[in-house]
Amino acid sequence: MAPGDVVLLEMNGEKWAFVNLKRGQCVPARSPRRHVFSGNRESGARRVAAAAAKREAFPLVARVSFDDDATFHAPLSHSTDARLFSTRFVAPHASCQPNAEPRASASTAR
Amino acid sequence: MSLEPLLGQPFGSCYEVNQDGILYPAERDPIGEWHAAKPEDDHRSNKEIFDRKDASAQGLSHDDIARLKKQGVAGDELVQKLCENSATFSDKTAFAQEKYVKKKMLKHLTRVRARQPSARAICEAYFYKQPATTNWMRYDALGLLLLHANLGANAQPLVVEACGGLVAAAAAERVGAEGASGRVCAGHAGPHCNSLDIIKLMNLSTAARECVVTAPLTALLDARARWKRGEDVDVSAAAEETAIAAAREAALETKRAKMAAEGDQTEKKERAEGWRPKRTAAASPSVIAHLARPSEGFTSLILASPALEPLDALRECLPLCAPSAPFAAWCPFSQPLADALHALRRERLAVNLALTEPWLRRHQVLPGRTHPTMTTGAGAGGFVLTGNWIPPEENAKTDAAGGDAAAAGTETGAETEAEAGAGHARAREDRESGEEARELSGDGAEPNKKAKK
Repeated sequence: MAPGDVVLLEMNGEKWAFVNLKRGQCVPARSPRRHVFSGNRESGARRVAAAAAKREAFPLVARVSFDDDATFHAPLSHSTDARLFSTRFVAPHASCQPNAEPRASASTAR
Repeated sequence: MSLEPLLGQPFGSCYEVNQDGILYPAERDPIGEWHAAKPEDDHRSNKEIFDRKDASAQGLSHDDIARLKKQGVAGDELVQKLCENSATFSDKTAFAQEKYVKKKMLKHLTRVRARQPSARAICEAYFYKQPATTNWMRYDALGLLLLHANLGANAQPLVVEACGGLVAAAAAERVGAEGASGRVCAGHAGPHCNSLDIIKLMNLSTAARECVVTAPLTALLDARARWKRGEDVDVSAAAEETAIAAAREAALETKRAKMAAEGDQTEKKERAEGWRPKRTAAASPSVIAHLARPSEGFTSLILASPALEPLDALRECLPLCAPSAPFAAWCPFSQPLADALHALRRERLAVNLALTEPWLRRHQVLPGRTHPTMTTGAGAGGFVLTGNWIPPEENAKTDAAGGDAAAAGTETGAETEAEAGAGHARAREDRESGEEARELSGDGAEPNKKAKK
């Protein structure tokens, strides 16, 4: 790494910061990670109840699809973890298979 | 904390931050690594351990911990002391103990890793930190786009994106090898280009940075239309460039004269150490004319702009590509892409069409303890439509050839290139969608039977 390089600083595998390196540069050190779940079962239940009450008081009429998917929390990152990639074929469906429909090619021009 | 220790070190170096905010080199293993390679034969049980609301299980109070930190006790020593002072630690199973240590390490120890800002790392960081910047583009979806667009050295893709420059940067990383002649054209629908700031984060080489140009799609389409009308676009582009250069020179001259009249007092700024240009250039008229030349054509098309209707955008942009060029369109929703797939197939504008949904889930992989992470949150990866573009004139040729063959009554089945491509696409679609699709329809190998009949 040299001055002028951009570095992606990863703190405890879950906090990121892009830094343009310079000589004598300082960045604020962030505090270490808090507990994943800071509380006991009782406080967890309290939080759930409070959230339910809030939803009743302020019902969401229309939700943006992305906001609804509030799962973008920072993950733990360990070398023993693995991310399994996969792809699911959505289309073409079997009923849309080219062989199932009249072939729109030269052979059908006869 | 000072970043001075990073200078001169390779990317990927790991550091620990002590209480004074000083970085110390550390092992590369991430914090809280699972150390037990094999599950131990442990007969202890956690069923007798209950949460103590008053936190009486821990002998050290917050004040004690703060005092220890103030004394400069290192993070791992502090965790060791916490374990020693925990009343329930020894009763826990080996797995639970390991989990406890890991949790405490994360709380009391900060490790910093300096990662190289590759396309994957940037995509991951933005996806978890600030996903709106990249339009919720997930890193496996980005990989799919690059794969299906067949990007490599000397490629000349057209990238239409609204992901903060992530896709264009990833394409430039692949295309812009030293000595390669590839070029990434970041097309934009409006008069101004979308933000491509992520390109600046990538530490691209000069060759890779200079291979990215921005161009309005309207200008490309206009140039292509003029080429098709038989106009010499090169000549008009050269004239336009001369006029632009003259105007720029005149403006510069006026500015110089003004500064001389006022008496220039400003000192010239010195560049910081390691400064490098990071600006993405707009394509000049001659470059646009060159890119839109019918004999040239883009080698592939990547569409990752949810604001644009995929079908309309594909209809407009695909004619700018070379025949049989692969394309990949990404959208957070499946329906627009499904419509596009259907229309492209119906109008016979593409073969090899497939709509896929990338899927991602984090797993813990350990001997005897492999399972999906319970609190996994991968978000939505969107959908990717892929295929190969077939120009309409090729279809016309194919039809004409087929008609002639039928008239001659020949059964030789000399397929044209396009038809061979279509056959190949069918084989691929059959193979890839395979059993899953047949299970969904429940008709087994019915399509093949029909074809045989």
